[in-house]
Amino acid sequence: MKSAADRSAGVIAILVGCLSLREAYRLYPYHVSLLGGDHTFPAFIGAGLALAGVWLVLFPGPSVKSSAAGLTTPELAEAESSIGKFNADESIVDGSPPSDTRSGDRISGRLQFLPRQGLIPLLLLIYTFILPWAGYLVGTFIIALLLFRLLGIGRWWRCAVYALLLTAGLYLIFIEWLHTPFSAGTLWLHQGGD
Amino acid sequence: MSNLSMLLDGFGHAVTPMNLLMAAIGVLVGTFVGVLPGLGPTSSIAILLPVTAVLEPTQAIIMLAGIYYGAMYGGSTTAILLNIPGEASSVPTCLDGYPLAQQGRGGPALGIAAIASFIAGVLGVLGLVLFAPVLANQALRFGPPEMFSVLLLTLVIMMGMTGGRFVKSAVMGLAGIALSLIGLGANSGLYRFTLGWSPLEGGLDMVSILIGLFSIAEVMRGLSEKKTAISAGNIGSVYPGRQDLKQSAPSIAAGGLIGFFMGLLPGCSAAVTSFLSYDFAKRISRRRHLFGKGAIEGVAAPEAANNATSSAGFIPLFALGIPSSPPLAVLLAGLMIYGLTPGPMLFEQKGSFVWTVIASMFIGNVMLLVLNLPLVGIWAKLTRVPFSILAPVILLLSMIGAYTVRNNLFDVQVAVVFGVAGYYLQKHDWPIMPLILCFILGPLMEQSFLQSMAISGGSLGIFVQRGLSVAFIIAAAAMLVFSLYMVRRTKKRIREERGDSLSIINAEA
Repeated sequence: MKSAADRSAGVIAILVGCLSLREAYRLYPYHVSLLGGDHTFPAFIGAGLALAGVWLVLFPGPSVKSSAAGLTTPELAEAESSIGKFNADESIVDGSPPSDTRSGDRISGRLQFLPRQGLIPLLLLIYTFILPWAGYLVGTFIIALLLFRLLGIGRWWRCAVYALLLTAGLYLIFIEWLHTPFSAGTLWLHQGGD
Repeated sequence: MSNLSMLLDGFGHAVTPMNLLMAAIGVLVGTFVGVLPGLGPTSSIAILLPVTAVLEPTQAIIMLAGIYYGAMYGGSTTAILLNIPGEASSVPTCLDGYPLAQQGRGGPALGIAAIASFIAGVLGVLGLVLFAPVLANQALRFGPPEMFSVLLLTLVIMMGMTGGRFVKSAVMGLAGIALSLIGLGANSGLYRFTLGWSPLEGGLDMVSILIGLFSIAEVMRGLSEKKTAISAGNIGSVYPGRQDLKQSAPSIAAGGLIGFFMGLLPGCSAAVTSFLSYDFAKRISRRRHLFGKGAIEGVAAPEAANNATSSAGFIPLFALGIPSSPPLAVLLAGLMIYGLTPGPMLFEQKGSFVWTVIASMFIGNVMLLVLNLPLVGIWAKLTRVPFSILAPVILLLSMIGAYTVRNNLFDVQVAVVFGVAGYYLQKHDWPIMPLILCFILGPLMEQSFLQSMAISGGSLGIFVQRGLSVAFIIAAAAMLVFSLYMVRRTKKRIREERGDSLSIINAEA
């Protein structure tokens, strides 16, 4: 079966190629010679991308079969059975019912249109937006908590403990040791100032 | 001063308590992350690059080199104990390592892997001492046209070696150059590719892109594949017997030599050399009937090749400024962050630094052996760490790592965007390496091209009028054909051994 992904990528390559050619055209008046100037590489890149894009649209490769980290089918089955085994073992320790990703599924279940791996970039982007406002400690704790929950650690209190440890560990390394200038958070400044 | 005396001088600088500590930490951290599911050498270096920011450049590079060696070795633990090759280069190690582990001889297999890695690593560093200064000396004669041709040679081979369709590699390479051009144009002083958006005026940060493509994408992939911890069984003693050593010696020598000389070629990945050396070791062995059923030399050969290739990669990196594998591309980024531009002038201008780092590689290899043999049991236990605990740690380290380079949240957002892009690119078998390499080398390539045009008055003829330049262009064409053959061979072997499921594209992530 021909790859629709290749065709889509081909279209994107053509569009980016056109954008690059437009940049070359915009920069051409500032040239030193026909091939000497800031326009030269954008022109080469634009032409190359457009041609490669057309090639991909016309001659897409076969669809990529989903692979599973190099595991062959029997190994995958073995790995999946060991997921269940591992979580069963884990549940014996903390007394929780055996499940591997139930909590994660509960979070992502509310956003059915997004797979769990799709929620990760969303959470990370939210982190970049709340960080200046909430500050390092609160922002990192909240996102760590949600990430642990999403990835199936289990109950909220357990996620909170892990999140607290991670936030504290990163604080010691990056803020105390490396002196990274993270925002302290405007939320607290406003409260204190008013 | 001769190379030997420079090396001894380097040892004098390297053997300080702080440098030794950095090498030890690097090797331990590298092995630690190499053993963990979901992290390879490239991701490890990319995440830890900002953490080294507080160190002196020499200490930082010593630590990063240690991480690189350690992570390469760490991958063999999961291959032998769990039959999970973290990267394509570990597939041949699985073939005999896992049957040995099943026979209760996982320990000796890990021990031989460590010894083979050590011997081949030292051999590789010796080669680095002998060849890199000679190559750098020759490269001093390069003018802009020769530099452009050699970069073209590297990129063409690299695109051929990725193992995918050439057109996909070309698209990725061109996209990498385009991304590198974002920001201020050197000639016109005008912004390029910013689309009038001010955050792009400073260009894209290399570390953010690397963190996105390797760390975040790797976690997303791990999650989609339900990566988990799988416990290993009893591994036995880690010290191989005299018979094991005797049987492995020819394979270690063969693997080391194949790995080293093939590793000199830009783009010739450890996957190619480890398969080649495994097949060679099988051919020369008297016990070839045991290969695939638990022959110790079947572990020794690919592990030796793997490490020799890693060491040989430093030669084009230091002498020409050309990284031959994704982890070395990240190391190059590290060198650049510390204001050290690898290339022919590095030996001239920063000789003391280079020889200290080379000396520390010897030390790093010794540490790899001394620290790892007694710790094999602990590394084996680490394979049980659940992915659900590791992933948030990796993600938050990545976020903070991307932030610390320029203290800019825009860089973090760039990392996230490239994380998503990397996930989909890997999922659809698009090679990441050409994008990274072209992003790093793109500005240098443009500069040497424009300088060549200035010399020739705008004529492309300059590239075929100078002997060395023509030689590089012809070599590019020849190497492309050779690399396509080697990749086809390696893919065929992977298909034979693992079915169709492990790609050599994006190996060593």
